[in-house]
Amino acid sequence: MTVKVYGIDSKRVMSETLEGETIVINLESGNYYSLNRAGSALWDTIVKHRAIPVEKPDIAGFLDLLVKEQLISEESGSGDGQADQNAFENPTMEKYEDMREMLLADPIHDVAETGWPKLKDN
Amino acid sequence: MDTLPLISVIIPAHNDEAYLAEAIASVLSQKYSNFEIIVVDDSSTDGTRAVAETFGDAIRIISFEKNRGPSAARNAGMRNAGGSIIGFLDADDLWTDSALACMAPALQSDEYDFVRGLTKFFRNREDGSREFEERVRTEIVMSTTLYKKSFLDRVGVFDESMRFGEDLDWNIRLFENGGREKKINEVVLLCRRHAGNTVHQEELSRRGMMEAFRKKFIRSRAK
Repeated sequence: MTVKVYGIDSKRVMSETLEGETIVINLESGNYYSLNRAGSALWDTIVKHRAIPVEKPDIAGFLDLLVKEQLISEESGSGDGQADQNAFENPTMEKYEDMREMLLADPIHDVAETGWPKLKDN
Repeated sequence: MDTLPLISVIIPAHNDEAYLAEAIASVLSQKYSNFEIIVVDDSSTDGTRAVAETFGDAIRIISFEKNRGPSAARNAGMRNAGGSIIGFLDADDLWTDSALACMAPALQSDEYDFVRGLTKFFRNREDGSREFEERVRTEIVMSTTLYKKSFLDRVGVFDESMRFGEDLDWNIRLFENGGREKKINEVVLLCRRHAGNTVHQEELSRRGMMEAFRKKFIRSRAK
């Protein structure tokens, strides 16, 4: 069985699960996402760094989408245990772009290591 | 010029003695003539109050005995505002002298509920001169916006339980309440960068952002 392990870049992505629905925010793009129950279960598996079987097309497709949206990235290694692929039936997510101008407003996002953005004389 | 609507400019301040005078001066030098300035001193322990008092009758000062945070300070300002248009300016930021003049006309018709201009970030060099970031920012920043008071009556007040993320929560509610926004293609806000956001501050900021999302989620479920 083919399995893959994914990681979340916590500097760029934050998430929270409320009543079985996970909200994922990409702080770099300003996009946010709502994951259904199966998607949330899958997300939780990624958070726990467990290996995920990717033979079922709905699971593989969902993971590809998360990668494409730069929410997760594939990692090497075997992960912390393995998830049961039957636990995720038809994971889906919705993407929202309507809050970009609000989410990108916070100056912390483009501050350099030194604490200052790159500036130029006016 | 007396026919211009009165704009209430609310400046929440907490230990901002180093910057407050510049912020107030940037309002006093507006090309738009009909405004009032309300400084809300959120229990500063430095000379913020004394700095504000040097402006005499040009401004009104509200003082908190205990530190209550920016939401409570803005709310107190709103409760005391006499204008039909409201604007918030952070005590460490500056408006360009045409900020009010270029934004206010959009609110003199029934077409829009709030109006927003652009931001440029800057920092002070050691010699006191200003260094500006090249990029002009289009994002929603509190101090780039003027609101119709009648619209804010619908939106409600700032959430005083939030110390971080309260501005995001507020911005979300503007749109949830059907706010009609006019964007102005002119820099109105010069926003001061401060050195070194600590990891701790960044974490608090992120938690505040998540809290605003949580509240949005709860409201959407309650519908």
